[in-house]
Amino acid sequence: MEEALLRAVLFGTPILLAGLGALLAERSGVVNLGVEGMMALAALTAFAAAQAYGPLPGVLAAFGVGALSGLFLGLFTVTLRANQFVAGLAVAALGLGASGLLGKRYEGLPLAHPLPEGGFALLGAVLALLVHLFLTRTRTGLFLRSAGENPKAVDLFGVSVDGVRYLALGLGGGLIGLAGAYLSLAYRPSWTDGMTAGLGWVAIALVILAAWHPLRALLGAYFFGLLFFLQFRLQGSVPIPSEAFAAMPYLLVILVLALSGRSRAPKALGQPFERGR
Amino acid sequence: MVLAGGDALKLAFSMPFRVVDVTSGLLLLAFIGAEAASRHRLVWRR
Repeated sequence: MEEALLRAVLFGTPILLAGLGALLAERSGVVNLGVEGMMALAALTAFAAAQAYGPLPGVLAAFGVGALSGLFLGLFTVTLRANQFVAGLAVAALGLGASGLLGKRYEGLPLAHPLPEGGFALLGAVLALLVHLFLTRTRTGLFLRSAGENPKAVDLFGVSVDGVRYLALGLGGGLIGLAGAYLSLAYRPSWTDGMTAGLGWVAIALVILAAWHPLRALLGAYFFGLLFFLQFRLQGSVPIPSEAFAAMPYLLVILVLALSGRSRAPKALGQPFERGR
Repeated sequence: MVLAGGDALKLAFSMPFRVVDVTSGLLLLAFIGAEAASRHRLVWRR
């Protein structure tokens, strides 16, 4: 039982960190479907930087690359007001492809000084609380939430909606970068192409499951972590093909999303803001 | 359509799938960038 809970937390941590990043963007009104690619690129950057300069610069580099890729997504979704879903899918494909191509020289290399998984798990839980406090107790958080609910009100207040959305995408991208750093520096201290294994998509589902609430995202991420743990634990012990177990967490994600139909999305989610329209 | 076309390229010509991913991503960004530019009536002037 204790092992199951511990593994649930460790499996759930990258989903939590990436989910918090996507949540920040979505609370400001921008759909971020690029999480998978951003995570992969950050995981590679973290590993490469850790090889050259050590693990902590690796974490910072992953945060930076995540933030930059969030701002890159903002260029299309906020400034150009392009379709947020297509832009997100493009960033996901670009991130996965670029990390796979650039990371070939790092495949199979061990990491000399991996970081403790527990440290990242603690960081994830603390960040969930901090994101909650930021959104509910700070003036900037209030503007961020308002940009996702009623951007015209933010604009009337004299605050730049685009600026608030860039801030959310940058900060959120940084958190997604931390999820990538966890994968390549702590969880599996190495770099392999495709090591994100669909966790970015699960993180997007987590945001909907958690009804855009950071503390519910914490619990939801550990729930998904438990599902991933059960997938590995039950393989071999039950006469069911391993492929069925591999599909189990994703099938349950669909089921959970279908059942959580009452969840409430920010009103201006996915809508580009144009002054005067 | 671009993503599906990329998948078809992977299968038909055994192209390295990460190359196809990068190309698909860039093509999608080019398409939506061009669409946004046309919406804002941006034109290329020589």
